[in-house]
Amino acid sequence: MIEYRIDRGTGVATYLQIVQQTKHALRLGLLEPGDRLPTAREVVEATAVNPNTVLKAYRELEREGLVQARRGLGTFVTKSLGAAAAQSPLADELADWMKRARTGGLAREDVAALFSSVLEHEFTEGEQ
Amino acid sequence: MTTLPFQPRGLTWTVLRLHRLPLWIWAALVVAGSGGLLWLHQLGQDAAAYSGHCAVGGTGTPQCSAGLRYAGDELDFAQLLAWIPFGAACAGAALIGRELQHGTSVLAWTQSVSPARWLAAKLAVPAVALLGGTAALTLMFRWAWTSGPDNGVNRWSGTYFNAAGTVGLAYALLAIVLGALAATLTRRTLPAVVLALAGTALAYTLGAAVRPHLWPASEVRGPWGAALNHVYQLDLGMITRSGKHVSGLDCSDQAVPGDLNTCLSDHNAVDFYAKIHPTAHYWPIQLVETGVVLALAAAAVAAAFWALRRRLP
Amino acid sequence: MSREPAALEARGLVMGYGRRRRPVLRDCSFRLPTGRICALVGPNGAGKSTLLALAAGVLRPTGGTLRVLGAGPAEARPRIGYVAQNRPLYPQLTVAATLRLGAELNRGCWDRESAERVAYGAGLDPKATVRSLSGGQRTRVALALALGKRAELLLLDEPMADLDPVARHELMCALLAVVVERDTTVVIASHVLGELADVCDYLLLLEEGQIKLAGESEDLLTAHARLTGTSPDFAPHTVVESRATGRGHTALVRVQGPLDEVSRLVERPSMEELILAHLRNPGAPALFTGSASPAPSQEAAA
Repeated sequence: MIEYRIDRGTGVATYLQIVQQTKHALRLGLLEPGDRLPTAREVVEATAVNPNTVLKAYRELEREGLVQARRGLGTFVTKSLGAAAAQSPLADELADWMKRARTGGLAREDVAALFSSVLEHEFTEGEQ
Repeated sequence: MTTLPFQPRGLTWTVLRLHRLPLWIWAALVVAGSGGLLWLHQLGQDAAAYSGHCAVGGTGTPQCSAGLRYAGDELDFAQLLAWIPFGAACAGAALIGRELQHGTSVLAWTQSVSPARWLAAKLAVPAVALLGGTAALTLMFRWAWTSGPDNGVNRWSGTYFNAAGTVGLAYALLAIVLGALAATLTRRTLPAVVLALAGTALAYTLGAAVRPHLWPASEVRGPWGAALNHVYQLDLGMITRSGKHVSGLDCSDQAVPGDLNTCLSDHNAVDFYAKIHPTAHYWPIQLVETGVVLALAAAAVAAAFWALRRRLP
Repeated sequence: MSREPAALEARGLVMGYGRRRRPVLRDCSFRLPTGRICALVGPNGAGKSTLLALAAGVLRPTGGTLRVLGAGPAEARPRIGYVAQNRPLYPQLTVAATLRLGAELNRGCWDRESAERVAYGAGLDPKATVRSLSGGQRTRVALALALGKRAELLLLDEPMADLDPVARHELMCALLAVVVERDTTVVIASHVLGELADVCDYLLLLEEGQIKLAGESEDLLTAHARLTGTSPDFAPHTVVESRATGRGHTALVRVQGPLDEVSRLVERPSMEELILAHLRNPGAPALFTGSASPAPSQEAAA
């Protein structure tokens, strides 16, 4: 079973940390379809985070179709996350874009700042 | 606690457990007191057996000193019994004041015991122990006292009156309740103890002052004799020719003692009078005073509950 | 509108100790819905302990009303668990006898397992007398008594103050495990937010006897933003705190209307920042989110 590790220094919302760590475990194959996620009680007992935060993270995972809550039984993984993203055409486009940025004279830090700013804008906006 | 005939539960268990030490000390005192009174009873019987052969003051045979010792020890025990209410006042004030001062009462109140039930239990359990012990000691004292020789003690003397009757129990109860009242008023142990002791002393003093008026007094006429030694003397004086009672007149300034008629005519009087409570008034007065003190105790209980609730929602 | 009874609902609550002294709580109003874990935060002397004592029904307010679980504080007393700041325990009892006391006083509903788990969690000797315990150990026993009672509302006054970080984490985990099973409402008073930020989903910020912020943590955070830009004018937003940093100006504002993300850097403040900004600027107006506003009083509604 997965164990969550909450890092209080990152500034990332606690529920997002749970969501991300779950996804990470799915990608790494630590969690597979049919596996049960820890109950809210098990999570709060180990991490001392608010139980509603755990439930919110699980709802988010459920909304994304990764897990499913079964009444009285727990929350179960329904889908695995393969390494598909790395082979998609998006990866080629991104590599292409990076090449152009470098030839355009942007330094590594500039690219990183630009990337994370766009990432932040697209994804935090999208998730709220 | 396994030897108790009943298994205390809930709040009763709690109060017994919390005050285990003072309760054991009190039990030990009662046992020691009973032992002492048993010994006093033995001494009294010895003294009574020889009293016929001894002159007043215990001279005569060597056994006569028993009579003297008996009288002294009897007074000591009577005084000890008369002090019980002061101990009760301290106990009542300390048992409740300490909890209010240190906030442990809050622990009980938020553990499903309402403040009223808490105070009731904190009063009832020690009061039962106090009354049980005091009643036993009072009965033992009466037994030891009445079995001994008549050594001229006036049963109406304040110390004996309190030690040998129901008023002693009533004062003990009043004192513990006054302690509780002082504690709920001050919410501090030390001021509560001081206040409770003062209240108990005041109650004793007022009791002694009011006692003669609790029952209609009798009047006897004629020269004052030894019979008056055993009654409650309220007022002595002479009756003048006009029939007026003049208090305080006596024959102590008489040039020739013993001639009562001259004494009377010198004072322009016709007879002596004495306002007294005879022995027949002893128990009626005991009971009336007990009733009054119990009523005061009830009022103090009500006041203690009021004082506790004053600060609570 | 009829809402389910709140865990706590205060209206115009006033509490003063003595006539000459300044009241500790002044016209304090708020609402705490059930099922929340609420941080009651404020500087020392803000009135946190007084508010909890009033809620626990061990003090009578000078004015105003306080409803606890839909009832008066006195009637609600059997349904609440309270750990007072001075951790009142009987010094002459052993730890085991103290837990027995809890069981005797709550016959029929005592949760022995939870109580013992919290009390003996760190190897506390049941035969040790309370008198000999350290501050942290006393907290453990006091918390065990409150949890063993199966309360619907737990009022904890500075529960973590005298615990070391390991014990703090362990006790908080044990507390939450019980809370999540019973859906208990919890109020945790503290003068620092610290690790409570992750534990609590509701906030009551108390300052000088009045509530400055009340509501779901998430809603309170959303209602504020941290803006950085070159202009010192942050209108139409309400500025809680602003400061000039070189050429720029940074402000923590209460969002009023759309945020201009072109000319300004917009950041989400942390709960800690939000609280500190309000404590440093007592002039900022109070904010109550929807669930935190007390229902209009009966008289006003009629």
